[in-house]
Amino acid sequence: MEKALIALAAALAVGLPAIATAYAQAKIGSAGAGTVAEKPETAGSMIILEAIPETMVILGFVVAIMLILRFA
Amino acid sequence: MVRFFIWGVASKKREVIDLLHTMGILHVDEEDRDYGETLSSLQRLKLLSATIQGMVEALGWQDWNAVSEERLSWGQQWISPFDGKVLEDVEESLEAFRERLQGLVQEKKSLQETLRMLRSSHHDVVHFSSFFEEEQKRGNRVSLWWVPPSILSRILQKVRTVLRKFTPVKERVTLRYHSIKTGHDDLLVSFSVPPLAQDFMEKLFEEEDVVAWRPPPAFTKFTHYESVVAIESGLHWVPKRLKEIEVEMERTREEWGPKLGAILMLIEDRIEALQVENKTLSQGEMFSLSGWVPREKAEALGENLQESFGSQVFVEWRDPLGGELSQVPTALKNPKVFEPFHLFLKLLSLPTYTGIDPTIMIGIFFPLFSGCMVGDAGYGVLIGGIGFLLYRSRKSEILREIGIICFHLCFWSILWGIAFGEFFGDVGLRLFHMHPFWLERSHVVLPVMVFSITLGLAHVGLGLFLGALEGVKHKNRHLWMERLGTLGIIFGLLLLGATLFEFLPALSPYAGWAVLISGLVSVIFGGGLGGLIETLSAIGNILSYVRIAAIGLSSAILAMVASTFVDVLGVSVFGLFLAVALHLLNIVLAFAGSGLHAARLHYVEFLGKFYTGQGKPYVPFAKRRSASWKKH
Repeated sequence: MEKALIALAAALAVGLPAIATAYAQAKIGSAGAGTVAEKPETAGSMIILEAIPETMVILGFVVAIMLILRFA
Repeated sequence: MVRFFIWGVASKKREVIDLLHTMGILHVDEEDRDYGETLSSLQRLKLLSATIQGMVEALGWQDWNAVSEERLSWGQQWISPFDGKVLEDVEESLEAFRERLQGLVQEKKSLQETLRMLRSSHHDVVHFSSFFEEEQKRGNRVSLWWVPPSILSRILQKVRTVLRKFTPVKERVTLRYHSIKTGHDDLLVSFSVPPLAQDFMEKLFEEEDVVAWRPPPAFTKFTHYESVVAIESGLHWVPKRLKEIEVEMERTREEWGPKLGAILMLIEDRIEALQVENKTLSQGEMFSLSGWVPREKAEALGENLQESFGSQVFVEWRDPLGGELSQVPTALKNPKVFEPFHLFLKLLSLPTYTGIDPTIMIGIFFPLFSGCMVGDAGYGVLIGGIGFLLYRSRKSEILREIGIICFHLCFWSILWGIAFGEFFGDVGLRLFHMHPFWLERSHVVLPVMVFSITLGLAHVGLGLFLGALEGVKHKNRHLWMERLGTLGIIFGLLLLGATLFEFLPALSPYAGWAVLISGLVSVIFGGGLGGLIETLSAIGNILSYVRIAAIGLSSAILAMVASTFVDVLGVSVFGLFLAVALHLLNIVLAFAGSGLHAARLHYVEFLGKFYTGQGKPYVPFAKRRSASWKKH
C-alpha cells in the first residue's frame, strides 16, 4: 500500500506539471505559429519560447525520481 | 574599430567612392545629408531596378551564379556612365523586351486558364459524346442540364407532356435522354428533342429553375456535339502551345536572365554608391566622408587611397571618442573554431561595441551542457556523422555552421558517454565491457543532479560576475551592486549550508552570515525590491540546470529500454527492429532536446544576467555579388 502511494505521488509529480506544460505549450505554440507566419525570422525565438514551460515537467520529473529513490 | 575620415577634391568624389565600394571595408556613417541634385537620378535608377526585378521574376530566372565577371564587364561598358542618354537607351531596350515578355506571360496564363476549363468541360461531357453524335445524325436538338435527382421524375413527366404535342396521335411518345451522376447531389442529363420542341423545352426548364450546362465561352457558337469535338481538339493543341511557350520562355530565360541580372547588379551598385555620395559633406571644391573601419584594415585602406589619388585625397583615422562609442558598429571577431556560434546571437541584437561578446562562452558551455544531456558515445558518433553531412552539404552557410556545432557536440557527447559508460545505452557494456569512467547515471541519479546544479551555479555565477563588470565599465552603480549582491547572497547561502551541515567544519557560520547580509544590503541598495526578486529568480535559474541531469536520465533510460526489447524478444528481426527504432527515436529526442534546452539555458539563464545587445552591425560599403543576391 505504501509503495502504491509513493508511485501515485511520483505519477502526480510528473503528471500534473505535464498537463500544465502541455497547456502552456499549446498556447505558446498557437501564438508562435501565427508570429512565424507573419515574421519567419522569429522562428528561432519561438522555438526557445516553446521550450520555456518544459521547466515545470522537468522539475516534476526530478521530484518524482527523488520520491522513488528515497522512499520506494 | 577606428573612425576613418576622407577628404578629397570634389572632382574625384565618384572615383573615390567607386574604390571604397570595390574594397568593401568602410562602414559609412549613417546620417543622410541633402539629396539635392542626385535625387532625380537616384529615383530613376530605383525605378529601373524595380522594373528589372519585376522582369526577372516574370522570367522565373534565379541563377545568379550565371552572372559571370565577363558579363558584368560587358554590362559595365554598356551602362557605366549612368548618364541620361545611356539610361534612356537601357529603358527603351528593356521596354521592348518587357512587352515581348508580357505577351508570352499573358498568353501562357490565358492558355492555362483555357486548359483548366477545357479539362473541366471535357470531364462533364465526355460520356455524352456518342449520344450527341447519334442524336445529331437523327436531326434532333440536344441540350444538357444540371438536374437535382429529387425533381428528375417530375421533369421527365413534363418533357413527355411537351413531346406529346409534337408526336402524331397514333404514335407513342419517345423520350430520348441520357444521364450521369456528377457528384453527391447533381445529375447531368441530356435530352434529345425534335427541333420544334426545343423552345418549349427551354421554357419548361426555366420554370423549374434547372441550370443549363454551357461549354467554355469560345465554344458557345457550336452545337453540343461540335463543342465536344472542339474541346477534344483544344485539349490536344493547348498543351502543345503551352509547351512551345515554355520552350520560348526557357530560351529567353537563358538568353536574357544573366543579362538582366548583370544590369540589375550594376544598377544596384550604382544606387548604393549614389546613396554614399549623398552622405558626403561638400565644402566648395572639397568633399569629406567618414565612417568606421576595423583597426587592422585601416592602414591598407589609407595606403590604397593615397596610392590611387595621391595628394588629391587626404585620410586620417583615430580611436573612437567617448561620446561616439554608442555609434561604433560591432563586428564579431572570435577564434575560427567558435565562429559558428555567432549563430546564437542572430536571435538577439548584436552586442554593443563596448559590450561583452558571449560567443566563446556559448562555444564552450553549449556543447558541454548539450553533450552532458546526450551523454552517450554511440549517439555522439552519430551526431558527428550528421555534422559531417551538414558540413559537406554546402547548400547554405548556416548548415555548414550547424555542422561544425555538431562536431563540438559530438566531442562532448563521446566524452560524457565515456564518463557515464554509455554506448547506445548499455550495448557498450554488454558487447565491449565498457564500464563508466565516472558513474552510471541511470542508477546513481542524485550525484548527477548535484553536479548539474553545480554547473548551473558556475554558469549563472559567471553571468552575474560579467553583469557586475558591465556595471562597473558603464559606471552603472545599480547594476554592479545588484549583480554583486546577488552573487553574495548565493555564496552566503552556500557557505551557511556548508557550515551548518558540517561540510566545512573549520569555518565559522558567521562568515556565511556576513557574506549573506552584505549581499542583501548590496542588492537592496542596487536594485531595491526588484533586486530581491531578481535574486530569487537567479536562485531559480540555478535550480533550472537540473534539467541537464533530468533530460540525460530520461535519454539513458530510453536507451536501456531499447536494449531490453532484445532481451525480451531475443535476437530476432522484430526485437532488433524495435531496439533500433527506439534508439533512432531517442537520438532525435536527445539531439533536439539537448540542443533546445542548452540554448534555453544560455538565452534565459545566462545571457539575461549581463547581455544587453542593441549593437549596430558592421555593414561595410561593398559590392553585392551572387551569394547575397540569392537572399532576395
